[in-house]
Amino acid sequence: MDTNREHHDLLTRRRFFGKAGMGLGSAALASSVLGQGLPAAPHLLSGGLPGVPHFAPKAKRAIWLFMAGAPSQIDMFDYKPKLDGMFNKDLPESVRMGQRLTTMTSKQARFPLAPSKFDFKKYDNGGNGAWISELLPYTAKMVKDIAIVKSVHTDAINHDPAITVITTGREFPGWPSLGSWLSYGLGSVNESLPDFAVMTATWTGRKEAQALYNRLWGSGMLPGKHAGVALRSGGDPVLFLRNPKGLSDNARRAMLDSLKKMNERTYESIGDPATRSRIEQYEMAYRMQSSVPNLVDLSDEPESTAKLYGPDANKPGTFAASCVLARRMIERDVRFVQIFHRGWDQHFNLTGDLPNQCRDIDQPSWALVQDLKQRGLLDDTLVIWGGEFGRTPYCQGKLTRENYGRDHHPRCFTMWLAGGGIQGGVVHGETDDFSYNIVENPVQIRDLNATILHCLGIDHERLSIKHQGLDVRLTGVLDTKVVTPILA
Amino acid sequence: MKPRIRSLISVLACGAVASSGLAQTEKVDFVRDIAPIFVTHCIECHSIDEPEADLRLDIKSGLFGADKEDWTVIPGASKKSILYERLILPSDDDELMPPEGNPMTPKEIASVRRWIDEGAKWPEGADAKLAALIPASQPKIKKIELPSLTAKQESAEKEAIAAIEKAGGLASRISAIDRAAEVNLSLLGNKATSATVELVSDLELSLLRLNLSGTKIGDASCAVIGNLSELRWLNLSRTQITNNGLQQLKNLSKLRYLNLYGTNVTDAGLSFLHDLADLRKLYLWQTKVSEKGAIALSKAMPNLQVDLGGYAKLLAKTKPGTAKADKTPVNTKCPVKGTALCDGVTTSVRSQLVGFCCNKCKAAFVANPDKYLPKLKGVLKTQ
Repeated sequence: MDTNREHHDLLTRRRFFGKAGMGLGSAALASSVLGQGLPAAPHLLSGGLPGVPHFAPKAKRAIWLFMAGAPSQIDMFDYKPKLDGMFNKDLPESVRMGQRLTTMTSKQARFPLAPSKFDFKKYDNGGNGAWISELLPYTAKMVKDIAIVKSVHTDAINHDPAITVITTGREFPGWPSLGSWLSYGLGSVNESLPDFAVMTATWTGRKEAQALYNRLWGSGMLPGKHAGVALRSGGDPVLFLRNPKGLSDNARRAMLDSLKKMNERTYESIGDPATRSRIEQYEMAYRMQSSVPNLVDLSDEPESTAKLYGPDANKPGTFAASCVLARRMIERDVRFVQIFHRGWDQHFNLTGDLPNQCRDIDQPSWALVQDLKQRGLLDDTLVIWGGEFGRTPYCQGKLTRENYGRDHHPRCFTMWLAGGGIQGGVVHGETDDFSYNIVENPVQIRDLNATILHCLGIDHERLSIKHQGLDVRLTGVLDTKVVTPILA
Repeated sequence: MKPRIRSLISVLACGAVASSGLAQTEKVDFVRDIAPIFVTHCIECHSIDEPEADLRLDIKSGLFGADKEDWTVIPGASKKSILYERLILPSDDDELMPPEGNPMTPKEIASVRRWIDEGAKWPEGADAKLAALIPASQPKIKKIELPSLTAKQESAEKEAIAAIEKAGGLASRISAIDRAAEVNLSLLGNKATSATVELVSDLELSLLRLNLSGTKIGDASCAVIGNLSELRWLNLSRTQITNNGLQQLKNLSKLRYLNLYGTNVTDAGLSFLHDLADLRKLYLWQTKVSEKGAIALSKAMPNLQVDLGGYAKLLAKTKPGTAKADKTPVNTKCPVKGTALCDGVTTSVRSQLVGFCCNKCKAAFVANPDKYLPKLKGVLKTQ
């Protein structure tokens, strides 16, 4: 619901009912304005914005497998055989062209090239083939299902602004995240679960990693109810879902009803939409008391699930277990699920650490796509894989053939997409011989977001909210285009 | 009909030749002359997304498929080519192509004719070059054509939507650009009954998507579903449906997606699907359908993708890392020494695999590729 309009409607109704006398007025208010929400627009009854989706969506829901820390495209997808012969040679200045570096390597005396230690093979994807490294044997098996984009680029060079811009469209905090835009625009299908759920998975090896912040799934200036709900990775996924000992469900309901009445009174007199968000969140929490235990109870899963997702599938909080939960949420029509895996910041000891991270995500990502496919859900579920930027072809720290580190690289990185709206078996974009600059079909984060919205039936230029005199959009005002060559 | 077309062809063809921009001696080049015409006039409807008449003009295999009977272009014979015929019909003929937008110019028509008469060559690699011509910023948005409603039908639809919502289901328009509707009763689970399904019958002329997954509905509801003549997408997974129910769905001629996973359908039931010419995706995981039955159906319906699922089983067969890779080098002789190749000693050049006789030669090549590349001339595709 457009919050400004909602506020406006409320004010006019109050004036009207004030004149018409309290009896009928308050009854009408209670049922239509404050009860289960305003009557929805006649053409769309699931509570999204009128006029959205703008056109028939290919995807009804989406999952983003987020690789926080920035996976090394050059060791996983972006095969650069010419680097083999250039071990320890300097990155030519003609390639770098004075582009900025992070302060972690800008003081290095040299920028010696570090060819990937890992073997690549070309896999048949039904088209021109796709190169995948030995670190991703399962991903290699599904190159016909996915569209690999080797030419994503971003403006930010450090984790915080980069992860903020890719999740919210802006480098600085406080703007609505992709998931909250989807919830705002498309509305809920399943009102017993959040529209937008976030999971933060555990990872293998080195424990220090970049922090995540709840603003990455925040709702900015959209109503608070559209914010992502973060599920905990260990123990109960949502705390305090069970009623305290000695409190019956009836007593709980009676308490919530009284609280709701008080909140409604506040809303009626002040008209702050945040009060409504609060009422709705209490109701959502109540419904989640029964929906979440059912969601996380895996006893109805077939035996094949554990096999498909691999050995981690039964360990709560792992990426594999999160993927199983994501699929269960998608089955229950949750709009958007985002899983953050945080192990990808290999400044040093890349060849020791990267294989662990790849093992964490490789089989589960493959399994998730296959599982959605066999249930007939991949046709209308979009899956996105990738992190906030890429890594440099030159070495950070000590360089040997066997080990090296890589710094942040925003100028090109690889992501893949699959499912609803996406054409499988495609490799889009090309980088130079160094995986440093893009030479063909660049895809800016805005383009990526516009493409995701397009798959979900949304024209990125027409999904906006009025804020401080502007029509705010996820993709902003700069030139943005949908990446049509990867669309089905 | 035929004679009229024939005579027109000769008249128009003469005119077209006269105004053709190509010098008569110069051969038509597909990428230069024809691909831009296809991109401008044809591929909006004749490309990957539900191509009209199942004809794609954005890829070679779309025009020249496995079955020669289906070819709309007969190389060397424009007069026998349906594609050409459709370009030169009278302007009031419904079959004239393109049906919308700017008509083709006589010059463009002449180029197509000459291209066909010169053998209709669609060179290797031209698919990608054609794709590059497609304007990137304009994603295709399709409006669904639906039969119009009387005022009475319209109000019946509104009532049906309200009744479904009241029963706890979801009924909504799919998007703002047309009337197409969808109904989702899956979240009702056990609470969805055959009476709930009956509520959708008044949406017959608008309902494109119906999701009954996980409800307890069975064959009794299939008579209602079988009448939803506009249905494109039907999810009956994890319901009580059996072969008897399938039999009642055979008039859903527009159906593209059918999900039967987790039901009791068997091989015998699949025969009821043969008439669903538009069906493209069928899901049969955890059913009683055998691999043999699925293969037989795929043969009978070559445009249908049958998914039997069970990918976990697949896993047991192929260990990680043993997925089949394309490891055959493009060359047969070592570009450095000219001797026979050694298995597995390869490098990639322009995304193609080049083999060597030994690691020494590989190192020599990698250190100075320009020196040895001429040896691979003709072997390596210039891409």
